[in-house]
Amino acid sequence: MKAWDWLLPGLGHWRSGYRREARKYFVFLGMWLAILILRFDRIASLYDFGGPTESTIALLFLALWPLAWILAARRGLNNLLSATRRESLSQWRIALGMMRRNARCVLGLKLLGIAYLIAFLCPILAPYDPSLTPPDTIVNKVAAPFTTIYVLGDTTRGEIYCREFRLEENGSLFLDRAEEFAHARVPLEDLGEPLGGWKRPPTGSRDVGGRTLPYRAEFHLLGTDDVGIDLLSLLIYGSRISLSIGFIAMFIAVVIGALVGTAAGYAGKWTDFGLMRLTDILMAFPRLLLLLLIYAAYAAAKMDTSIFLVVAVLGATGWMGIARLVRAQVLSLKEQDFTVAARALGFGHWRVMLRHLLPNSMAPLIVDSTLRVGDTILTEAALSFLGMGVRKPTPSWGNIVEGGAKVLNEAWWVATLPGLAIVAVVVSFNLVGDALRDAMDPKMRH
Amino acid sequence: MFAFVVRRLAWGVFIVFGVVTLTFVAVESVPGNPFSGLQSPKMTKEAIDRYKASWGYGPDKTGWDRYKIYMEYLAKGDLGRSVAQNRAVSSMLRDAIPNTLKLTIAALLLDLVLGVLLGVISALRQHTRTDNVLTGVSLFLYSMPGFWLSLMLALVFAVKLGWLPRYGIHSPEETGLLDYLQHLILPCVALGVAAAASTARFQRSALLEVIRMDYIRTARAKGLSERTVVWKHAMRNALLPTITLLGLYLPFLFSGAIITESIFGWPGMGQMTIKAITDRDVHVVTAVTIVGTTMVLIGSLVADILYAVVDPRVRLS
Repeated sequence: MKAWDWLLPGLGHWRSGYRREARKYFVFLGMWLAILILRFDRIASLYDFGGPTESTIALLFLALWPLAWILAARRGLNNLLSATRRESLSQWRIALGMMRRNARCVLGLKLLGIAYLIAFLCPILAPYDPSLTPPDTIVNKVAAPFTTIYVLGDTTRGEIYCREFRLEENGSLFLDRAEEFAHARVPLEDLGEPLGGWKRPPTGSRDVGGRTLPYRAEFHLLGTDDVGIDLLSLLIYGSRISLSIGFIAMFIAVVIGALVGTAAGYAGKWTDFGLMRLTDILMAFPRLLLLLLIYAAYAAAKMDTSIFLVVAVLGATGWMGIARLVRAQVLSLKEQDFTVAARALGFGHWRVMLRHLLPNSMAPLIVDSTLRVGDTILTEAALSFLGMGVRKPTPSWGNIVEGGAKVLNEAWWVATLPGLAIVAVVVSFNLVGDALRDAMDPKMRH
Repeated sequence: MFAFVVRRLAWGVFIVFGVVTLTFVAVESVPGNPFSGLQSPKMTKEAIDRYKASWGYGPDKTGWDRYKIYMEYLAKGDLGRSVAQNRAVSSMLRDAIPNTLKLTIAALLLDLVLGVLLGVISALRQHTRTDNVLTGVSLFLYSMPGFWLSLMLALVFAVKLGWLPRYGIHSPEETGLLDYLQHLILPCVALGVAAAASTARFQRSALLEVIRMDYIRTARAKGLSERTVVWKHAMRNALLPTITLLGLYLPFLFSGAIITESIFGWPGMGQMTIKAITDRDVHVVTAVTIVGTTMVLIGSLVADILYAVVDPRVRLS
């Protein structure tokens, strides 16, 4: 193994004949280089564009990501080349092997990988800053996908926006401003350096009536939303919310559910009765109704309804199924010899619960929670859609659809595209969850 | 059977009691007064103050006092008033509940018929192209946000094609059944199809499990037609888990109905809830929570009883 083999991840794999693994690392490297080269301008001026937190996260990610696969490639290659292979396989290793062979699961993981990559790198990848509402909403709002909007400089008024511009016979410039009443004519001599200067430098120029007019072209690949913000940027920034809230809320729910379930199953008697009846009652609530009730109570008290509240509430209303699952596991585990032995050795209740019972009920718990992440994402989106979850100006896929619902008749893309993003992510989570369930189920192994 | 129903009813009453208490605690746990800053064009400030005082929101009352007052009112069947609309909540519910019930039951029927049918087709053709397509489609539908599906249906069939009405329950001038059904289709499909997708997933695996059993082989060996074997022998057993599932679906359908109703302007409890929340009508929200949960509980009770009726092996005890 030469120094090059681990400095350039995948090279060693390639030379040793593991072409498939090598290709994976080359794809990573290609993506990393592509981002670095294509978005170099943005990376260089990152802190002027995005907020400090997300910029730092994006830079850290960009720096640590290659490090992760350099180390992974090195370890993987050592494992492949070393003479002694692992003899025994743990439950998790078998499951991992099965999932790798499951094409649907691999597809799901790839999609999720891309989604998280986008979420981490959002200030680098987003073409515009979605927190800035464009100054001219008439021209910008509900622009169709693939629209270019031109920004011209007016020496008396500042920047002016239009969809297209052309010279009229009387010598003035006609600006097509998307709506009949908003069209404008500007005398040619007014055009040039805008009053107050360019907000961002011009990107091109066109010869009109013997003069060279500089303009800035703003291209909207997916169009704009109901207030004129670039939809692609909104989707990219919105991915942060959808991808993180599902996970964090799920984590809170798992912690609460595991604690309640273990306590109920292990303690038995009245603790069990009380906790399980509480679970029953909470399960009887239609979840959305429970969430809306809590939200209404907080909104009525004029409390801050921030993202943290959404996460906490989603977590606090999602643990009941997990608690039942863990309780059932603990009930059967606590009669088994290893638990009895642990008790006989004089270990305390807490130690038995946390070190013996909980780890052994982990497998079904993880399968169940993977399948629930998708559900949590859907619930968050529904809440945001109703205007009671994550609220504008923080974009989330749910509240972009809410904006799109208002302009459904004239602009189908605003409601459609974020929904597709939600579907893609939730389908991926479900594919991975299904594969994980099959992989953890000994009956499915052949 | 009778004893079981009585016991389940008693249990249901307990749960409803718990739900009422928890709802009350949720509203009460928020610092400040849930009626503070409430203004209404339809009620004078004095009337609102009187109303607040009669529910125990006074300076010398504790939460426990309010809880007792609330329970007293509830025992009398008084769910409070909507401050924004100056109308008794119970009379609003009388208008809204039938609409929600019609929509939910229609969606449940669609869910059952479509879900079972697709599940059976997919199970009988396991590992064929049909099965793969159906499983894939149901995975998509199942992973779809309900509100988005509703919007897309509205976009395609109401806005673009103009086949079906976009809003409401009746056209302004008409009152016929046909008109009503036309208005029902979109919200019903939006609610039912996503549920049908997961019913189909479930039905598929249930039938696959049953069809491997010995008595099915016996039935085939007797020379019965495949149709008889599947629908008369296998489905008898394979339908059972689906029926239990339907009872468990009710909370989801109800949650879905909240959103679907507000998108399609269906004047049911969902729309009432959303409006109440924007109006900060605390008593309307509490009432809807209680009534909605009770409906869900009744639904799961019916599912349990149905389960015993179709499966003679189940002894309700």
